[in-house]
Amino acid sequence: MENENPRRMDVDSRTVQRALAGDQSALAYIYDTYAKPIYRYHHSRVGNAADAEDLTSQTFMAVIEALPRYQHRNNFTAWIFQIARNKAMDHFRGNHRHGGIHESVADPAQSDALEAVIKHESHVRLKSILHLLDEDERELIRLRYTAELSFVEIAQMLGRKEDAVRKSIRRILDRLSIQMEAQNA
Amino acid sequence: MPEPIHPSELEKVMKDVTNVPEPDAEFMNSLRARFIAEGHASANKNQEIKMRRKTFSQRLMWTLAVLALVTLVVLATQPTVVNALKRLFGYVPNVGIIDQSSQVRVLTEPVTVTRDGFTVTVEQAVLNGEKTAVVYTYSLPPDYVFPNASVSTTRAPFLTLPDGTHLDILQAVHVASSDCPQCYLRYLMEFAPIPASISEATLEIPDLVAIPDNTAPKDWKIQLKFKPADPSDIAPVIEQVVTPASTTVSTNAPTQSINTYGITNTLDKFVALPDGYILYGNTSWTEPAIPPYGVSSQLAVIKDADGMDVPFDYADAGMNSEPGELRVHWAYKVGTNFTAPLNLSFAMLASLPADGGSFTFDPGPNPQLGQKWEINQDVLVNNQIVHVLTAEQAGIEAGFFLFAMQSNSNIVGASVIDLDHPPLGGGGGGGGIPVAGVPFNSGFGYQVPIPQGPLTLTFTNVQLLLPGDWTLTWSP
Repeated sequence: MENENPRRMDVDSRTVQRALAGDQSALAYIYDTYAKPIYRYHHSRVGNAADAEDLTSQTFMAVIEALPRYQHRNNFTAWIFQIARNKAMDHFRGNHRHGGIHESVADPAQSDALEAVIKHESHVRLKSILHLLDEDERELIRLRYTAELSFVEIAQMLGRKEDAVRKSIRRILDRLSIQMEAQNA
Repeated sequence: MPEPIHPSELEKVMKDVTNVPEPDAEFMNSLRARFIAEGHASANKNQEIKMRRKTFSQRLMWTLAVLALVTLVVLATQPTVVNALKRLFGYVPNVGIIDQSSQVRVLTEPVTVTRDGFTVTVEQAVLNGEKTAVVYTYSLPPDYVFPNASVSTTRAPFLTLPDGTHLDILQAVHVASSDCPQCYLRYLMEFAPIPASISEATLEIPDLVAIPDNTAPKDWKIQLKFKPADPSDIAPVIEQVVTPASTTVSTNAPTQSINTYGITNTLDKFVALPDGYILYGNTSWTEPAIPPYGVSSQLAVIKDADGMDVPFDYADAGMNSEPGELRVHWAYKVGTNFTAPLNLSFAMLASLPADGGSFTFDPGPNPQLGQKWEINQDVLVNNQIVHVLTAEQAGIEAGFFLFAMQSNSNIVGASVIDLDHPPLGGGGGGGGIPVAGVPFNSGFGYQVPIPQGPLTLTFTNVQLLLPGDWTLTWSP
């Protein structure tokens, strides 16, 4: 839990400058670093490959447009995930406008795709508890475990302090742990 | 209380549970090629724009001077062409921006009901002529145990008025509840408006959302009382609605909207925040040939009254276009360090279907990455000449070609497709704000092996940089 992100993602200012200058290897590096995490993040929210692909495409096309305005503060990950998050929010906002209550409260953690990977009983129990988290908590879980962001990156993205993010996730895990154990009792 | 599971073990399970399927490799490769190619094209375009900016600025200055003179004449002869109307909007936490053009009422006070350790609190209600918004939270008893078989049946909440009328829920969304640690859920629901003569209603919640069946009390009934809102209930949001000045183009006139080719760019409202302002607006058009999302209004620069550039950032526009609607919404955030008024200068781009036009290109038997081919063909597209200059196999993987083009018209972008071969991906060169006459790129990706030439690329779409000065003036 206290370990930092195991898959360190980092894009330095030089890479950004090279990408801005049209350096294809720098653009490839950015894509290769973030494409899968961003796809996973979108998939965890929308629960299907088609929408996840669409949102991933939208995210990277928006990155091209926004890159000239990026100001490097060692926060590229937070910056690019903020773009991804905005695209996801737009997607859901559009759906909410025309959806009923059941679509609105649909839980991304209960998607069909996730069903395929949940094989163990403990997973089933955890899943049943995860859908009780509120949207803020689920977002923290997505960013930490699906997108595999570090606490620092999540904090930068959400405009919160790193320690606060770390404690929030710890509290969620502690609560889930207790609830899972209670189900076992 | 049982011993909790060790966090490291739970974290491992959590990673498994939150795992998602791997993306499709073909999609990832296609997007990769497109991203690299369009990023490359965008960089080239930005460089060209920088080089030409000085010349462009000089041309723009002369153009604006002439247009300002025209506007002064129009205003002098038609003093009613510019009209202004201000309305107030309000902002309520957890509810959002609300219309205050009709009387707004709110909950007299939060209402909390506790049953069997479950606590439901209706925190806020906002009633106006458009809707009734109700926000509630609930918390679980400390000793609540989730059953193994967690089937949740959620019947929809509704409002009951004193005369027995039921108002069904229209939509509902989760709302952030990080400020309420004990809350398991915060929920914003919308119902039809309640007549102003009715000051009470009963919120009926048949089932708590996401609670397993038969583990919590059902059929909650919570009495709500409403009162007229006072200023402390609602943060100010200032909406600006200004009558469009038909075809007038100006920077000096107090005009908030201009209308050219059926397009109107409008600054709708702003929200004052402690660290700045969010400006909300929309761009609409009437030309049916331009499809939904076919117009893009890009904010190029903001200058304040002292002529200083004012930094800005994109903000959440808060709403999407309706299906088929010829309107896009935008929002930008600025800080507080400026001298009002601000002039927001936009570039206005419109995408139109191409009426045909094609060119041929032969990559030869063994095209190499980075290889360039001279094409030099003039193509008639929508009655304008597009010069197709070169082709380049760009990107990292084989198959993606960028076609450099240029037009002396206001065509600043295009999409092409090979009708005879299935695409890997395609699209016009993006990024930056285009300048008429400057070369642009259009890409098309072939599946490998790349088909033998000659290949025919057909125009499907052109992007136009619309003339006119799309400047909006705003003061806090």
